[in-house]
Amino acid sequence: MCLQDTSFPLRAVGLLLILTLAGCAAPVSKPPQSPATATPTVTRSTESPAPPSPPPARAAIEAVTQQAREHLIDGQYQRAISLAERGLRMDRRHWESYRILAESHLGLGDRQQALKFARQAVRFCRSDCHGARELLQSLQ
Amino acid sequence: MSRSKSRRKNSPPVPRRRFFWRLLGALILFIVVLAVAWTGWLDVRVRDKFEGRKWALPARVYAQPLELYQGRQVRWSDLEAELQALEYRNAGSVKQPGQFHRSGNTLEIYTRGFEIGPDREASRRVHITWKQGFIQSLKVAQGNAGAAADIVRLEPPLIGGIYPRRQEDRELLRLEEIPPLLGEALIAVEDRNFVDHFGVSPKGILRAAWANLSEGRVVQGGSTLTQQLVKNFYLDNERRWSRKLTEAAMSVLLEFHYSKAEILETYMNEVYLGQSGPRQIHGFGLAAKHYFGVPLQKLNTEQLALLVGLVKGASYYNPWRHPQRARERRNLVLTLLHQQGLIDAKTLQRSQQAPLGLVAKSRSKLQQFPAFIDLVKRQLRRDYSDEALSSEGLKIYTTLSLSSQRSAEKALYRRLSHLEKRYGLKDEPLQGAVIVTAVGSAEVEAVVGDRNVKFSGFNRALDARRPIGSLVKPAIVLTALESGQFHLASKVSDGPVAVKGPDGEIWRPRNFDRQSHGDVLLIDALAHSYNQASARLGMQLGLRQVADTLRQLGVQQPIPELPSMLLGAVELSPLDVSGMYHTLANDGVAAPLRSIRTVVDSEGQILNRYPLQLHASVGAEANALLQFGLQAVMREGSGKSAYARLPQQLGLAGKTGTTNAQRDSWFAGFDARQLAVVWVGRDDNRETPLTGSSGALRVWTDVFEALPKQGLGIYQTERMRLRWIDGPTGLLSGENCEESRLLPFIDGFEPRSRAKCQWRENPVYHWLKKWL
Repeated sequence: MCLQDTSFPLRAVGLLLILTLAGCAAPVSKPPQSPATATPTVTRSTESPAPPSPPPARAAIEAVTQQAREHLIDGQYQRAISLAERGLRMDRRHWESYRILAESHLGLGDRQQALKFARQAVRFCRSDCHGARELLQSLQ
Repeated sequence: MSRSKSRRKNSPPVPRRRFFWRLLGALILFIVVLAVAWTGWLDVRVRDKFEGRKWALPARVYAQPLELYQGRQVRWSDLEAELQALEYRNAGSVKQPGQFHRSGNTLEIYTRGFEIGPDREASRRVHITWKQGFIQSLKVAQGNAGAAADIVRLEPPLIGGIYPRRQEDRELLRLEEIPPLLGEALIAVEDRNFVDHFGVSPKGILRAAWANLSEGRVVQGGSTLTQQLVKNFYLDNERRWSRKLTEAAMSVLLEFHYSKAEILETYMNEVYLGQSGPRQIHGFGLAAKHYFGVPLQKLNTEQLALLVGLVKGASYYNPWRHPQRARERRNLVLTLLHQQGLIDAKTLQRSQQAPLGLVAKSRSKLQQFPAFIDLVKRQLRRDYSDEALSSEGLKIYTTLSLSSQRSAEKALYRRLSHLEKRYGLKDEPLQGAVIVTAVGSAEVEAVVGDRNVKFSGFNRALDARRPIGSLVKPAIVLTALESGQFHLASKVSDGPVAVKGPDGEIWRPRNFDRQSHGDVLLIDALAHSYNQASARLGMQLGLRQVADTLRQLGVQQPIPELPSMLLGAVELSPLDVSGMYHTLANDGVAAPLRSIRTVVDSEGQILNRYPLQLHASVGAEANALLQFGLQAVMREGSGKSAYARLPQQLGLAGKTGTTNAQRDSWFAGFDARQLAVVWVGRDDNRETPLTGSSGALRVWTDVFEALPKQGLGIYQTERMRLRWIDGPTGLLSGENCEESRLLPFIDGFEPRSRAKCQWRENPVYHWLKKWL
């Protein structure tokens, strides 16, 4: 409420300015470089995820990922793989699930698959990606 | 002569008499030896089968377990169907596993728990709340072990079996798992002297003979339970004296070697108790589930009595077909139980008046998904013999999602009937196929291979290889984008095109609307599926290059490198198309589609796992641009009718496909979660009035309407930029210019010159509006 009250005079001044300037502004040859507000149809479709916004499935993903990590540490690669796959079913771009898959395949001696999963891990990782990048480098 | 004659008459010569006795002795000895050898042989047979693996146990096939967690999108109707398939009961208060109760937006379930090898899911009582189709919260009721409830899984529902030719099915039970009253009732009705006789009962035979004689027809059998077991377990159904003798001898041998308890247990697992289509229901364990939908231990007195009554003739007393007959038989059994002192008068009276308590006939059948099971079998045959699959009691855990499968089935059969009505195709039936795949995990969630979804004949989803029409065009666009010479705003000519084929013939592809559209942007050529532009572009890029892209996308079928390939003269099945489009949906990384997760042996040990495998990949950025183009197909191109029924804000990507004379109507489309591929056409390959848009896309929209949805966004990497482009020229433009549109580009591969801007709105006004 408070913000609205203080912004009102500003808006009124703005409106006056618009009316004045719009009347005398000539066409400008250089297009503005400002970010988009009005967007063509195609663009709108690509920028909006489907509402209604769901509650995050983070807890579930974290739970299976934690179990997968534990099995990976214990050398139970097959179980780590099936848990990491459960993580991917919840979020197909979950980078850590890919990292666990890469490490597990490496543990099982399948370097080719490990490399492919490691690439996916690096591709989808957004923060704290040092481990994933190191793994990929070691496999390349 | 006369002397000799009289001697012969009075007394035979000694050597001859001796010879007779010797012959007789030898004959007796021979018979005895033969009898001993025969008995020995029978003995080996009896013991071999009884001590070995008694039955060929079919492999059981399960759908994927439904996972419930906060944030999961799941419709109540889907969850309810899943609970029904698992025989959960709607109870007022949830006290034991297998019960649930729903009130408004909250649901309480007591799960049963399960084990798949080392993977254990505990039985838990959980409270779930819903909001707008999403699970809002999930809490484990207090008093349960391990209160954490990040994820709860329901058991994997049984969806079928892989049977030997004679489709015998059974669920094995141990004697201690069988309610004592069932054993007692069986003995009381079928063989009162079971405990005392030695395999055959002379008294029983005499009693039966007397009864049959006095009636003048066969009304009673004199067989003991042991004989019945021998007859069903070891012998055929012939009615010969020699077979009767074998039966008696084997019964005695069986009793000699094994205890009454072992014989009774085997009998209870062997006995034939009904039929479900071609599948034979054997044993009380499976019969309980077949008739009453619950485990044997949960049956009440009258239900047990009905099962015992069915032993005499499961077909004659079939309780669904002949309820009155079955009821009389059940009540007769109950009377016998009372006479033998096994139940009191009160129980007798109550249970005789009780209804039969059967499940609905439709529910007694296993979920039947023949097209999906077909896919499972084909993938299993790489690792297992037919014999192992139909006899070793394996458990096959698959990727089938009950809700996706049901949605796909319903969409196909309803929409095809609707289309037939609309186009007046009453005498020319349409056929179709649908495959739904989870994007990322490459798991096939649903397969429909016939509009008659329970029909297990020709599986169009796997075996109908048809030209794919314009479904091939994304491969041309991808080849162009990967070449580095094209971007989405590149101009391509849609003018008339003529190509000389290898046989000297000139190939002149035409657009669907018979018009040429001049120079168009690459994205528009894709969105509107222009044939002339695609053919020209494909020829310019090279047939080999486009074919290579198709192979990189996972197509394994032969690709004829002919110009007509550019307009879809490539024959693929819906499964092949699913593999190809899964790569496009999965950010360009190919992965073989899977229908099986795990195979477990009859002891619960894991035999095989089928993990996700990654194959070749196409350029990530080029794939992202193509996905953008496929979204344009849905927004403004041949796929836009989908938005008449799907939410406007949902990002979808897809492509229609129509072949010559509209013989095939295809649609392949995806969101961030799932991909569905639909084919509609005719088995005799005749023309249809349908295009990809008016046929397959309608089915696809129905499927997607029912699936959980997650909008597709454009996956941007650091090398990608969004730029305002002038629609007519494809040159750089500005946000506020007439006919400008925002398109993604790979850094360095974008238009360099600018188009002249015709302002849509005064720039200062625009700037101020934003500032305010």
